[in-house]
Amino acid sequence: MQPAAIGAGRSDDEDERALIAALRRGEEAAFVELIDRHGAALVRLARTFIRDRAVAEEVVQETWLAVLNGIDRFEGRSSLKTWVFQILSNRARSRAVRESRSAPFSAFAGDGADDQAAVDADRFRGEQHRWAGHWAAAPSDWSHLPEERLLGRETLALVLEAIRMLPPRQADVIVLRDVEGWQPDEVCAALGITDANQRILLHRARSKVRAALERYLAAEGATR
Amino acid sequence: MIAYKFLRDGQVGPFSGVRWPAGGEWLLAATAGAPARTCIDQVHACRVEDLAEWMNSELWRVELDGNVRVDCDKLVADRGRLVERIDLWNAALMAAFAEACALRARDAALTVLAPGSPAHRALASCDTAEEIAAACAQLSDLEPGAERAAGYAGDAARHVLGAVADRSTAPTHAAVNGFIATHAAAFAEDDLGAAARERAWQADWLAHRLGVQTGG
Amino acid sequence: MSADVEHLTCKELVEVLTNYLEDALEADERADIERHLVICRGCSNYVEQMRSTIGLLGRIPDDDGAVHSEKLLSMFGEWQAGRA
Repeated sequence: MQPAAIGAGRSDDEDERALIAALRRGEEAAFVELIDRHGAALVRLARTFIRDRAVAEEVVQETWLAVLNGIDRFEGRSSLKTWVFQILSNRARSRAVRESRSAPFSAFAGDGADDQAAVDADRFRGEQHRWAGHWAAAPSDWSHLPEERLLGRETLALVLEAIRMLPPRQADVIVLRDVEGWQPDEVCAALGITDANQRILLHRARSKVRAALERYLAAEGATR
Repeated sequence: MIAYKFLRDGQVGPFSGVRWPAGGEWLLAATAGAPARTCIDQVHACRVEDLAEWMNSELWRVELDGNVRVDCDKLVADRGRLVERIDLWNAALMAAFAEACALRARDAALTVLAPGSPAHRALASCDTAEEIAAACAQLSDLEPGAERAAGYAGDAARHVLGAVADRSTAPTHAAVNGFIATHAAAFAEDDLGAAARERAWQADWLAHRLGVQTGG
Repeated sequence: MSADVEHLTCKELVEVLTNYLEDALEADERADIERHLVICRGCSNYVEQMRSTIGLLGRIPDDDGAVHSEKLLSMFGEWQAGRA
């Protein structure tokens, strides 16, 4: 049941303000509405940082509590969605580090020094070759793969794992853009980065995930 | 104005993925009339001299309208519509074009290889792409310039074999060979003008076999 | 000399592909990429691989777990009580 105060026909901004006001008044219906809107995405988001489902759900629960505890202080300079994401992202990251025996390398990998090429240089012809810069080992045609292999659960799990291995800021961008479907300007606002910066991070992240997928699918093929 | 358009199977735009209307209705650019900031806003097509660079499975005669202009190696317009399919553009013609280009790359190599050398004699005696591919596979101990020139000829020859072996890939092989022959000519003559001349030769070849006019 | 015949190599294309897919390139840069894709099966495959990758990312499913757990509602109840 949706309370009459929160419904269709309002702008997103107005809607959010009404929701926040209702929360501040302690209305459970407002909290339920908030969870309806963002709950599933938050769990999915938490799972991109944390393998263990139970731990991920704990982090989401902590996030909701932090939202409630912070709702009076929330100034609305960013959108509610952005603010909730930032809380989740920080908590999920710290929890992911605590949960693993040693901190994953990626948690400390900065992006500034990351000047890896999108594809290993040895995949291309060398500078002396008549086709310098062209593929030496060309990528294969994935349309020949059976759909269940390309879109199956195992492949999705591999992709999730690849995201977990990314440097933090690259992971943030690819998750928000490609997993959650946020618009570029929303991502820039949430992460406090420029559009150009966002594209660079997205580029590096996508390149790494594609490469991981390629290795996985090629290995699969070799065992058949 | 009348122009030419390569499409993927099923009248699909190669880069936009948009299907051109079957009944000849106008396809409008996404922002018809707006300043062209990005190409996806516009309808693209070829003049005859552009054909070699944009090859794909289907070739159509199209009509363009609205702010039609040349942009480097293509025509750009606010809207376009299919007029008729050019059936002469088929897998056999693609393979023939690929072969013609392979022979041109071989001819360019002959101007680089030392006359009377074993490599020169071997390539000069070839009449088909298959023979060129076989001859190139046997060549060894060439100095870098000769190796490069012979390499272009051998690459092009192998693409002809690819086009014949798998007709669905013929458009790519044809297009690549136009590209290789252009590289081969520019390298052999050490002159960028040679690239333009080679492309003009390709346009004439296509015009003649497709029954269309160049420069129109 | 022959390097000038070509506008873009495969190695260069894989670095600008994100900008291409994001529609962040100028018209002539887009044309360079598209002209290259006509002659390069390897790069056409790479572009499709990238599109598949992005598609897969978008298919990571919503979690099946109960979002509206009793835990969350009772947590809310406690929070609300604490504010009075």
